[in-house]
Amino acid sequence: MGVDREEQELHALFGSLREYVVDVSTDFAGRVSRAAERALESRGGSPGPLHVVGRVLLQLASLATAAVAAQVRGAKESPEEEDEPDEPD
Amino acid sequence: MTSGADHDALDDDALLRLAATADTDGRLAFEALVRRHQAWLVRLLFFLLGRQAQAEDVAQETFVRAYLALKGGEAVKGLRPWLRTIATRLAFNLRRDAKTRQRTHEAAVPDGGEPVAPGPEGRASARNLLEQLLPQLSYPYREVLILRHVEELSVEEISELLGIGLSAAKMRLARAREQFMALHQKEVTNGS
Repeated sequence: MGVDREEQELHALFGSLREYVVDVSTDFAGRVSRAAERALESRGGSPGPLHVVGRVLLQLASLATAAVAAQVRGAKESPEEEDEPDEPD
Repeated sequence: MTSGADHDALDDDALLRLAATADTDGRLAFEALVRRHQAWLVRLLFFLLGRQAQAEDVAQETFVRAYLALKGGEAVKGLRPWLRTIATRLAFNLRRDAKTRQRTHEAAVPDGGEPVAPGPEGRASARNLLEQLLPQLSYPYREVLILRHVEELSVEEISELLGIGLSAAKMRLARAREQFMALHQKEVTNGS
């Protein structure tokens, strides 16, 4: 028997498997979803809304720190400006 | 927020983008993806592993790993090939670990693993024939036949998926086909 014919015969035999329908347990998707959430949390990254709020707060804190740092720099630089000699009359 | 029915109307790419987000919509999108692909994935794993409960466990682990990868920012091109890769690796590892345990405990279970019990009726049907014959094949042969004739992957795709060379994939497929046909012939002769 040639390989092509054998391949075709096999493909036909496996055809019934291609049509095979598996009944998946009820609420499989919900179970998977809950397991995925648990896995994510145990990895240290909470996926919930609090996680998002936390990230936003961190970003705001970082912006505020940058703003304060800029003010401090500005305060340090300003006396030098005052020290500049006045234009002669 | 989008409802579950709305999620079901979205395509895989849109759901993947949503699933990567960290809010309720993301979780619902992920659940919609699971619902859409669960029957296909459990079926693939059922053919590979031979038991529905084990197939569901590995399918769950596959989806969980996919979810973690999505949340980790992994870009996905083609959901099914990606899930198939994760699932076949997990199934392979499961079989390998089971064989290691088997050797450790010197259990006398044949290499083909747990047999799938044929249905009460229609033993001569092609499906039952396969359910009887597939478990008798060694795991790599069963795997390559399922990928070729159920998943309808090309030899190149199989080679890529299994991480083996093209000629090795062709060789494995030829040997698997030969072994399966020999078993099939034996079954037909005994049945007639």
